[in-house]
Amino acid sequence: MIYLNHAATSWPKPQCVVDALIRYTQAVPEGQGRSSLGTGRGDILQECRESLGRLLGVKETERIFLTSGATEGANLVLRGMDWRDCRIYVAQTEHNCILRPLWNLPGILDRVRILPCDGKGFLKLSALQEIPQGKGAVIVSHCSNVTGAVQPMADISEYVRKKGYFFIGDVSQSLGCIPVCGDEWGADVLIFTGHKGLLGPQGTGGVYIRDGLTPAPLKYGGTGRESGRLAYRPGEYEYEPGTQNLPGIAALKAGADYVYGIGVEQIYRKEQEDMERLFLGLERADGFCLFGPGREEPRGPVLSFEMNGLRPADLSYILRENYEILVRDGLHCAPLIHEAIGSGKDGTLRVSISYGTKKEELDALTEAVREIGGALSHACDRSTAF
Amino acid sequence: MRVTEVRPSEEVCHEAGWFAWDFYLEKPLTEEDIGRFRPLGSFLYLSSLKKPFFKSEGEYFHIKGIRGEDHFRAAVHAQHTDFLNMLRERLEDT
Repeated sequence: MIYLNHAATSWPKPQCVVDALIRYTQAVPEGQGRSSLGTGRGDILQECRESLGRLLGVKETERIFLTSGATEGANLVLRGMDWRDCRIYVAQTEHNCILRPLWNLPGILDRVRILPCDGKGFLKLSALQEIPQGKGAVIVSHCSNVTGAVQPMADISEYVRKKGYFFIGDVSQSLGCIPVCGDEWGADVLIFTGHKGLLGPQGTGGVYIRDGLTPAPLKYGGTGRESGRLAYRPGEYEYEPGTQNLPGIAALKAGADYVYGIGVEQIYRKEQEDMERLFLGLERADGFCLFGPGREEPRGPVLSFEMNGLRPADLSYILRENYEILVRDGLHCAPLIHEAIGSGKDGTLRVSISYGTKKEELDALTEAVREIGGALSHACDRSTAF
Repeated sequence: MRVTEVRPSEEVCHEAGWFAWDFYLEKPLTEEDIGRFRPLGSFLYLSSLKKPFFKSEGEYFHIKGIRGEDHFRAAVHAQHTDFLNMLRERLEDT
């Protein structure tokens, strides 16, 4: 079986991630600062924050809050901030983890604006220039999970801050695959997941919220600190109540350290080479339409395409049944980008790779797609021309 | 063609508003069986693939499968689930 669906979740996980998960589950439980039990293992939460801080490019690691994933991180910020008299600009490329919290937030939608992207999935910087001076936030994904287009975050942030807005970056699809430089970008918020490029388990992730921003929490509960105080004063919130997913966090740290050990630059280079190989192979297939950046443009480890005469779901089905290749078809939970790239209501077929993807696996996909293209062009048994 | 079981498919295509079911058959699909899907809608048969693929689709349904498998997949829009019963009856009548 060839797994090319790493943008959904990376697989297989490195052995160190599996080991950390098992080791932490088997070990004497830690008290999360709430018990006299000293395990001598240190504070896994803080250690994980430090590991993540190196990859997020942020120094204030105590401002990295661990959540069940990007969705919870996005909800915390988008539903917790006070958006009165604010506008929110959201890129057309965004995932539903950003769109749905906004679209279901009472009283905000008339102040939400879409920042259009071009046909490849790159944000139109001219649209940023048109944003009036004001307050609110601009939300942009670093790497599109549909086309792989990598946005110039530092440039975007500069525009955004000049206009007086917060800059919120969703780095779910890039963290661990593409260098992320939160402090350099001047990011106010970075939303991320743990189970994609960081190679951690599902159900992990988090959000960096720079010092001075204090969204109201989504959840309240025990934290092991100042338990006698029941109500928080505004702005003095805590964001990780309840018993945390410590085995998952230990495994996430292991994944983040593994990625850091290889080096994100090295991972990016290798994945760029692999994407180019894939791009060149697929470009030559018959009846084929590639979406997203061209060869020379910045692209993450994601590539979308469609084939004339087959729905993405059909192509995905044939790849699985005939060639044991797993990819993803559909809208990829990013419903707005498809109008810009012209991919239609059935979305695209998406191939996504990881550092561990082998060249032979990419070649097998290319060969399979060419065979399917050939079968399609020679199909005489069809009752309606597509 | 006897249908032994119809069950919700593990394929998630809800995203585009389709809901899929897998139809399990008494015997593997033959070329003759596949031909029975032809009149239902727009039909395509890729016979040169190692595992030949077919599909038949209309405005509110998609059917697809592989020759030699003991099942095929039918997806319908949520408001057209009655098509599934019609399909089963029609296949079992022929």
